Amino acid sequence: MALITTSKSLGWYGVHGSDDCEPMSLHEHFGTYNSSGSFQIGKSGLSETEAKLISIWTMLPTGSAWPWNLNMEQKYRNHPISSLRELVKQHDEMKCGQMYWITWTGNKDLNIPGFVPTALGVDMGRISD
Amino acid sequence: MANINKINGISGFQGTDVSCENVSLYGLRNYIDKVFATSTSGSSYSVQPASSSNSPFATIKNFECGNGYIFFRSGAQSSWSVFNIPHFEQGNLENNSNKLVTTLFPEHFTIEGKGEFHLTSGVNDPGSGSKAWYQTMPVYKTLDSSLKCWFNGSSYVISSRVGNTSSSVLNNSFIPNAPYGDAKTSSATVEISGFTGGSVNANGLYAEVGYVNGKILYRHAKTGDFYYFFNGQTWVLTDTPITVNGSACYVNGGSDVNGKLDNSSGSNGNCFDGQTANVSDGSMDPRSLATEDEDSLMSTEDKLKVLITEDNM
Repeated sequence: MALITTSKSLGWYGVHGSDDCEPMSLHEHFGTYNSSGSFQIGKSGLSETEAKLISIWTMLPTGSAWPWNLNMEQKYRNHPISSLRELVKQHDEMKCGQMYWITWTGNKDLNIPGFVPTALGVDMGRISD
Repeated sequence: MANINKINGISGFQGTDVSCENVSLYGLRNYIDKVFATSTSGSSYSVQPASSSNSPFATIKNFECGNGYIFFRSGAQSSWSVFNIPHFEQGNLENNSNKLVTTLFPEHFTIEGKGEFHLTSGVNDPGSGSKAWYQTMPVYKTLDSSLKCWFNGSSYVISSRVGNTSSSVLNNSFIPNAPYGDAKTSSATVEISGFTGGSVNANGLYAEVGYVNGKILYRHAKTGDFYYFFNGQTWVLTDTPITVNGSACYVNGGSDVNGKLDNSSGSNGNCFDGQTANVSDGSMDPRSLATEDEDSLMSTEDKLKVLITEDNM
């Protein structure tokens, strides 16, 4: 697992290892809201207040930056208009073989198995099939 | 290589297992406006306009191997054209699930008597000079944060705080998961011995840092300068992660991880001309696997007996 300990992190999701890479559902891991608007705690155990301090961004195939966070979950997860529900569903999991950047302002460590953080001047690895 | 299509924002990673070289950002200034990368502080992104990346004060001059980047196109959309960034792998959200990272540092490991350490996005401890990626190397910690594992410029160190050597232990290695004295590592290891002359630096302990082609990638523990990996058919020792392409110095081995690296003919590698070496299980005393050198080992043992006898006298 990789521990996200800093407020800014840019990295690749998916590591060659002894186990196959599995996508990680963000709303299942960090929490979401049910149809009546109540927060549903995720597998990470973060409270609503804590989970609101996470934003996980990706670049869509169109070249637009797009976030996942609890505000998106709250606004769109159960929206009556299906096209608006798609706004959160188009990026609600970390997919193997993709780049993400994470903003985290909480005090705990976020555990994201399979995420390889990078930093300037640090040679972390090579991408391979 | 990656052909960058006519889209505004691109994320990606520099370096594949086929090849990697740093690519000048200034050379791409007609296509790229600004590049973002994580600074070693862990609390900000470094932002670099491509047009000024040739400045002595530029923070990002190249797309560097093993690094992640975000960048945006320059100019009006109508002026965008497809261009290529050599050795770059695009990470925008798309069907790319078979492209995974072969890490050059371990994701996690256990050191006997110390605990299990995990790769972090950086640790800022008091006294560490707010450098989350201390000495531009990965920092590890235990889940309860009681111990950190960090590089001091010449060795990985385990201590309670990054940058503080009080009650610390060192492994005298470039990678964090080599044994710390008698404290064993959970990582797989191999021992390579037998190189001579200019190739002698490739001898030594190698420890697991990642996976490639479904098998463990080993890295030279002391220097980090050599890699032992499976290319899909045979095991290979190389000085270039994780390829034999380009100007890499390498020597081919066999189909088993333990065996012989043989370039005695000069046609089974590059730079290791006339060299042979043995690869053995790192948990074993390499002397126990000696065959051709059995006579010299016996000789050594005999000399030890003589010394012991002389000491006793």
